[in-house]
Amino acid sequence: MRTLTPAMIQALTGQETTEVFVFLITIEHATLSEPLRFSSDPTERVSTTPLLYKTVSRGDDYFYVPMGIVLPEEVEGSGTVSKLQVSNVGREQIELLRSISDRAQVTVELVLASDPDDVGLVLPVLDLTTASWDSLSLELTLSVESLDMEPWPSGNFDPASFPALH
Amino acid sequence: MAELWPETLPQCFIEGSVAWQLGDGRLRTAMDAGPAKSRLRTSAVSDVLIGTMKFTAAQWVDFKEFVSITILRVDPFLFPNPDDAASGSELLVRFGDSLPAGARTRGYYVAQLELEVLP
Repeated sequence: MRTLTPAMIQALTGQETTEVFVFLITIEHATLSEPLRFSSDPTERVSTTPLLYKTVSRGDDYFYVPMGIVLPEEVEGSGTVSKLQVSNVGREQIELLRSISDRAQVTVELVLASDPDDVGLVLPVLDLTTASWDSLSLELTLSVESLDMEPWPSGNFDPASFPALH
Repeated sequence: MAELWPETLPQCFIEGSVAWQLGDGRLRTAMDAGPAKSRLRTSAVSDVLIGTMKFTAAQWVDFKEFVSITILRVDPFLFPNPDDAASGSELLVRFGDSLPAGARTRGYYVAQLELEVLP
């Protein structure tokens, strides 16, 4: 069950609201000296050249990137899978994705632009499992490692491990 | 720091040609009954400033150089605020959906500028 702040609930249920919902994305990986932080809202302008916007939450800068996000379904039995789509105007993200061999950890948080320090919704830390891209957009699939799908025991009676059986 | 609108170019639009298109940025959801729900999608919305300028032949050359070389057609720049010309205030703008097309008439170029006013 998702826990939302009273301000969020009031904004969601009201006939109209001036509140802006902002998704904050934090990407962490061993190769990164510090986490990458992105925001879905151009809350305040950082610079004009280059043109940059950011959201400041709890002392950290989350830089604005046009993005679309699909939250995980809350259906019993369904896996926790979220999709994140960002524009692929620059090619820096592709180089970064190609350089890593293991999964990055992604944290998704929901705040209001009027009070970015009050986090309303926090998804469990997800693994960046797959990434696909074209010339226009980059789509990332975030999911929780499904341990119930892992075989047990881990080994298999394959020819390489047990040649006498085959 | 953003580039400044060149001083060699006209500093104001032709009188009566200025128009503002307010940015929307709303998300409206129709209900089965009653008024629609409405909320903001983003906290920063761009307005559109439209106006017509008249350039001399020399100014038109400078204008093309400013657009093509100085701002590379995409960079934002500081433009004189048409609603507050007396104070000399400026707006941070960039060209919108289409770049200006200059129509040459009697030695002058008349072009309509569509500027996206950045938040």
